[in-house]
Amino acid sequence: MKEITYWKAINEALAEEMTRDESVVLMGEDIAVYGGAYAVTRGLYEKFGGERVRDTAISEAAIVGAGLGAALTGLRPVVEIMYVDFMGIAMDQLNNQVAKIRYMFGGKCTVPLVIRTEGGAGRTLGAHHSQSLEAWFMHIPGIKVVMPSTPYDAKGLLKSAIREDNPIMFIEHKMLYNTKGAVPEEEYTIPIGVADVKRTGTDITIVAYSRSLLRSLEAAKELEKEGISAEVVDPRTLLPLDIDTIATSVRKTHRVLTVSEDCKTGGAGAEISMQIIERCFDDLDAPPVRLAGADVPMPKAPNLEAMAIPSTEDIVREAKAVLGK
Amino acid sequence: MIHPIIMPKLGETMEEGTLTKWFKKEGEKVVKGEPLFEVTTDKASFEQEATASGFLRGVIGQVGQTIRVTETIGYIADAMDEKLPDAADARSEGHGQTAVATPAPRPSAAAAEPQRMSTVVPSGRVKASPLARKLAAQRGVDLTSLRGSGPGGRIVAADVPLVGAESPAAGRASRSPESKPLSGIRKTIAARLAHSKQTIPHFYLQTAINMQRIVPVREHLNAKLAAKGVKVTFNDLIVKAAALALERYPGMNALLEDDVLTTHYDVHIGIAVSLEEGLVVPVIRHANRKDVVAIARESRALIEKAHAGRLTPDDMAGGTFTISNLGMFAIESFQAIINPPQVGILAIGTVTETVVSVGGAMDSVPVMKVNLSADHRAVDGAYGAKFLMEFKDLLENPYQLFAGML
Repeated sequence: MKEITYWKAINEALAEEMTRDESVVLMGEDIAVYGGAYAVTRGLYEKFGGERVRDTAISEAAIVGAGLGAALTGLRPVVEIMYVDFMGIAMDQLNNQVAKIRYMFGGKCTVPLVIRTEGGAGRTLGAHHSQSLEAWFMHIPGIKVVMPSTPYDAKGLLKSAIREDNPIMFIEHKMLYNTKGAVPEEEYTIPIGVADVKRTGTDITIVAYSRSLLRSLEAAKELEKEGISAEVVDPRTLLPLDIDTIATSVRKTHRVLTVSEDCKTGGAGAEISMQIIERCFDDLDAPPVRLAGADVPMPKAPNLEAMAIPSTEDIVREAKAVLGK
Repeated sequence: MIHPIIMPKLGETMEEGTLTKWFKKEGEKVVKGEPLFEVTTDKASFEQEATASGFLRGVIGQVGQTIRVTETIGYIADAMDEKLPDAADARSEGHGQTAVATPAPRPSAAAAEPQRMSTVVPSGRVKASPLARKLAAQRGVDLTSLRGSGPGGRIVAADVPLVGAESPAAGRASRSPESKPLSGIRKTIAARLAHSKQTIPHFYLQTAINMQRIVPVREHLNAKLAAKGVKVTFNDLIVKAAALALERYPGMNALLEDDVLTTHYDVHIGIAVSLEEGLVVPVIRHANRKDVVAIARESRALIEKAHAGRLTPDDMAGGTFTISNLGMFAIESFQAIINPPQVGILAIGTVTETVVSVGGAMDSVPVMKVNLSADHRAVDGAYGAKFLMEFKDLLENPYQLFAGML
């Protein structure tokens, strides 16, 4: 298997799907000639031409709205929103149009739209360019929310997302683009809504996704040195959530810690923890614990930004606390 | 009228008591002077009488709960429909089922309540993880018998013992270990004796006492006293002998506290009495000034009180020396731990027929082995030896015990 970066894996997924299916088209700010703010679409304009890879005006509402229209009329658009923080502008299009239209028209149309965007802290870009807003989208029935943590997952999940007939928020992480991982040469897809046990263990289940997943795996290594066996589960898709896989793990370890970068209050960890309690109350030997971002606008200062999201040390400490150590 | 029932302060050092029994139920009629509830302190159990007549209402104190002195544990009301004080005024926490009539909560009371809740864990509630509860139910283990090792004392799965088929010794009827917190009295014993053994440099002196003469004296005495219903035990004679020896060697009749050694010239001897729940030490006061018969009467009364759980803190206060006697068992000799701040304790073994050499000839005599444990900070070996020799002489020549009696 080859080792490629996360951005390259996404780029390959787009290229492969565009090659496989002529109805797959790309739209977004600076994605064509420039190749994308994080260079994810580089080379695609040259390969597939300006008809299928289009730069748009700086209007997120227009991008999502055009994507919806294209999806309704037979294309399989993949639109890029440069920063998830800008989704606020497109929120009416997403929440009231994209997510509702198939339902409101009695299923007579499909919305095969993928909204690619990226979020997260780590580049000291401040309060407008560093947020983790996945919980907003988890609150919208009618869409699916995918957050891959590895190149392998990113490629396989994006290919599935493009083939999916329902709208998908595909949220990448700006700090993951240059991380590397093994990706098969041959074609593969990963089903949406299926979690992945990234590491097996017996003492505690750590549920983490996106960049926090990598930190959780680092923490699990640290915990192993102290004789604590942590199982790390990556939901990969937050909506729908594969609670069965998570619950199976929790029934084995009896303890759970969720780790995410989004603000703690009303965040993804709260939803995951509650679903665990609903399923596994009698299997829990300790209260579920959420480790998440601080309830603050993301600070610009590098030291404060680092403090605002869970670090590997935080995960080690909280996991031990759950175990009463 | 509403009369609050409070946790009484039964001794100067008492700060909290465990409510061990209600003699009346919620709503039951109570007559002033009737036993109302029982309190157990670290020393003993005490029955408390109703201080007013009426109906027992608004019971807050739960059996098993440890409550600070002067806190309200319930009320005696003249009538069943009289309004009880607001729950927030009752200085007790954490009980949902109090029968107090609660009007709309006042903001200040509502704000104060959670804080109180967090400081006092109601003893009736068991903190256990859901998994621990499930396992305990499956294994038939009583959660209240377990001690929690989790955060805040929560019982977690690891605290629930394996039993039956899951047990490593499957097939054999095994009884799982039972854990429970030390009772008040055992906690006191643990703290005092651990402190004693760890901080007091004990030294031990042993001697064997020939009881050949005192055995017939005791028999004769008891025959004469039978009509009066008095029976003198060996222990009574030992108390008297120790009291006289202490009078002559008051250095052993001393209390050492904070580097201050207080020598006492009145002798108050504590006698260790073993009860199921632990050891108590009632004190025979002025044992040096009392004759053997008075000691016998008092000793018997105190021991009966101890077994009935009716010793008062005063009965157990003020000892200057302690005697621990295992003579009723076949214990030949043992060493006792000093009961601080006292500086000495005598450990009495059983009286055994022993072959001894008397002037080259073999004879069989009743012998009692005794051990003196002494605090080397207060007394030295030679002084302890002199005291012990005096004690031995008094018992071996028992007429001395009766001087002034006739």
